[in-house]
Amino acid sequence: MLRMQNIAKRYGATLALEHVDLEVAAGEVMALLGENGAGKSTLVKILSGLEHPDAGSIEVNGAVRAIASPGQAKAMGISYVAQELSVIGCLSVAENVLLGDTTIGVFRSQSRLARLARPYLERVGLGYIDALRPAESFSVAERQLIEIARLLSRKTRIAILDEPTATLSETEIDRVKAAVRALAAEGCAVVYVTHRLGEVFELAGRATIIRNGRSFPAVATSSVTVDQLIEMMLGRRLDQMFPERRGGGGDELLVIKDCLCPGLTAPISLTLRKGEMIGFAGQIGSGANAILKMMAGLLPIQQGSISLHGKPFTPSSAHASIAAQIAFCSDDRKRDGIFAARNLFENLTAPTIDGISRLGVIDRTREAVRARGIAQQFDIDVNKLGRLAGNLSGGNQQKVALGKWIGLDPSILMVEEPTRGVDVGARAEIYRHLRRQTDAGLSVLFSSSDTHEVHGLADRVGTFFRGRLIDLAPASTMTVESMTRAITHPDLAA
Amino acid sequence: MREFAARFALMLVVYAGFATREPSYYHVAGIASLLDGAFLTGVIALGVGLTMVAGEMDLSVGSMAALAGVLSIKLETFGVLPALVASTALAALVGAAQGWFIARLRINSLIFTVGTLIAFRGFALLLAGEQTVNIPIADLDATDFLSAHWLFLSPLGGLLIVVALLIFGLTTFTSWGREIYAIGGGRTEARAAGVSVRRPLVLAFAMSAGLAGLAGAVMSLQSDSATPLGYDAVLLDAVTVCLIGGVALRGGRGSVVGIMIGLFTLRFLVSGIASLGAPFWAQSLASGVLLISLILAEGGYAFLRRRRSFAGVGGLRGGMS
Repeated sequence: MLRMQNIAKRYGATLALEHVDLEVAAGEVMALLGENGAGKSTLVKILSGLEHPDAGSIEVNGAVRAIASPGQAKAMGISYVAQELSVIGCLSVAENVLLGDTTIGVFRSQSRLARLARPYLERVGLGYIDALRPAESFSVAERQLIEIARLLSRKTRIAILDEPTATLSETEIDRVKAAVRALAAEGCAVVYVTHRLGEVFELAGRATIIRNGRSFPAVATSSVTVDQLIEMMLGRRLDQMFPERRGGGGDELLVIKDCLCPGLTAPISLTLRKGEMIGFAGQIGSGANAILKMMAGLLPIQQGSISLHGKPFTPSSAHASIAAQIAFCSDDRKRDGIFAARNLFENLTAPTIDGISRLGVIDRTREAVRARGIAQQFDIDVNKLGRLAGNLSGGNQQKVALGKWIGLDPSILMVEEPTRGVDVGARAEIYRHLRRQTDAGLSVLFSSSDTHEVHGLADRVGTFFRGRLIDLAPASTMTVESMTRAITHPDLAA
Repeated sequence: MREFAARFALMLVVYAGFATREPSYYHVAGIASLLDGAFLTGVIALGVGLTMVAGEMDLSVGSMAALAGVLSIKLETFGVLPALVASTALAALVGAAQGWFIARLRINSLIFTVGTLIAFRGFALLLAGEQTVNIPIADLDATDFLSAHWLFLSPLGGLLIVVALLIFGLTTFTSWGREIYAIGGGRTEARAAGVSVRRPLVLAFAMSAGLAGLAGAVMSLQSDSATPLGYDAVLLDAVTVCLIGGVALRGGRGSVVGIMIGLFTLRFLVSGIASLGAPFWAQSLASGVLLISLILAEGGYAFLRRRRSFAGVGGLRGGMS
């Protein structure tokens, strides 16, 4: 169906793609893997007509074609689903499925659209929804499925899916996987970009790996292991995903007693020690992040008491929490984590802007000194500090989002989804940085929907299900399997 | 429809409140004058509302109405209807060009239309020779039909209803209209889904300028004269109507039904206060208070709903982040 050969692309002085081959057959799911910056997105852009290759040939259905524009790509049956959804909240589900469809004509009633959209919705497992309701009333997963229904409606022959499951929880991911399989079963060639290597083995028959702008011949997923895939992506062995634990066991720092806040259905008690890292695992909506948000002053505390350093403490606002040296790094990096349009100097010093200003005037020298200090701690290239945060890769953005809080000299660092949208190599790096902070005496609370991450990283692990803390125990006494059971159906766990 | 219930109830309350004191509110002549009074703001609000739904705003409608008014008086020698049609069509054409430039050059429409707001006013002054223009006395009878009434319906009231129905059809049943909602609800998302941004922008701005031109021409011809400095307050009235009617400033949300409810809520209030003999400042004050209290009420309602959703587990991530 699709054959791209010898593709090369240069942006100014940087060679984004040097020599890439990609071949996908009809009805096949081909995983496209690589670290951030390896050239995946450039390749995807070329395929969807947004960029033009400097060299190489593209064959679609046996004929050599040039893809000059996104419109032309669309006409050839190539559809691209970006990480950011293109479902429009205020339009109805039916309108969203048929958006941009020019064959229906100018006059269209909602009921007719709903009738036309119905078969496509059924094929992605959304037969039960009311297609007349606005898309914004549905969950992220359902919107993702609406998007795949749109691909079906367009008679897509080549579908490029860019991390469709990045923001979904386990059960939701299963629905998207089923829809991707449906897409392939209809004879569509699927290029599947993901950072979740588990999905590769479940969904894709073969995987193409890109490293530094060069592709490797596609490998059958049945003949490789996860470690081999990672080695091909990184070009080296990742000997250790998770850093060694040193056993965090200092004095009691934070004692939460019978606390309840929105998102929780049962009161929670826990003790966090100095230098300890506690990870909460749970699906989206399970309340795993509720305590974090409450401690950050973003959710009201409804009952219970908190003591910090042995003294009572009420997180009444974000300001109060920051003043108490509790830092919170949100999972919504784009909105809460970085100032995309500002440079790294400013980003890294933002939480402590008072400390580098005199009478409200920012001292640029002190700003630079402080930013360099943080950058060194977090392995951020000091020469890149003048760059805009929005132009960095996901992994580097996350390092900035985390690192800026270190300047505050916090006693507790709370992180939601520490590695969302971060590739394997940068992931290990972020784990190492977090561990280094706890070794230096900082206490960390984090929540994640990735059970492997919680199990591998945290000293103690809490599992959440429907607003309840199911279990809180040292990671060594748990397995990923027992945790997965606890966060999906804990009643069977006992 | 539930979204309109509260607004509709408010409109009825305002109406009933004045109708108990003001008998003209339920007389044929009173209703006719209410409809006529709503024409200018209503027609312009429908156009500006379209640009707001597209996530933009056409600030130039007042100047466009004045320009079209002067033009229609100048063209009246060729007949009233040709003058009307020509000024409206010309305004729509200029509006289409405006939309095309905004889409093509990716300029913020607020900036662009502040420019044209000033420029169109200049054109109107140029065309009118900086003074009020009048229809030749011999032709005065020709425009009388614009002031005729059949029961409560005059050409003005009828035109308002026809325009509202047309825009309703456009925004509900055509892909062109729905594209305006698409680019307003999510510009990048719409582009990614293969929706052209240019067509809906051209359409929305052509409609807003065309309707402003229509309103200006009809009002001028009806009164047999046009001043190049007229209609400078109509933009704010139109935007107020849209906001009362639930059109979102950030785009993607709004409807003809809502705009009409907003229009009559405001008209009932303003003319009610006027007919009670209150001074002009009271009308202005009342419109402002109406708009702000409505928006505060909406904010309060959203706050309560959020509080309630906190009680459940599911609302956490969706509600907060």
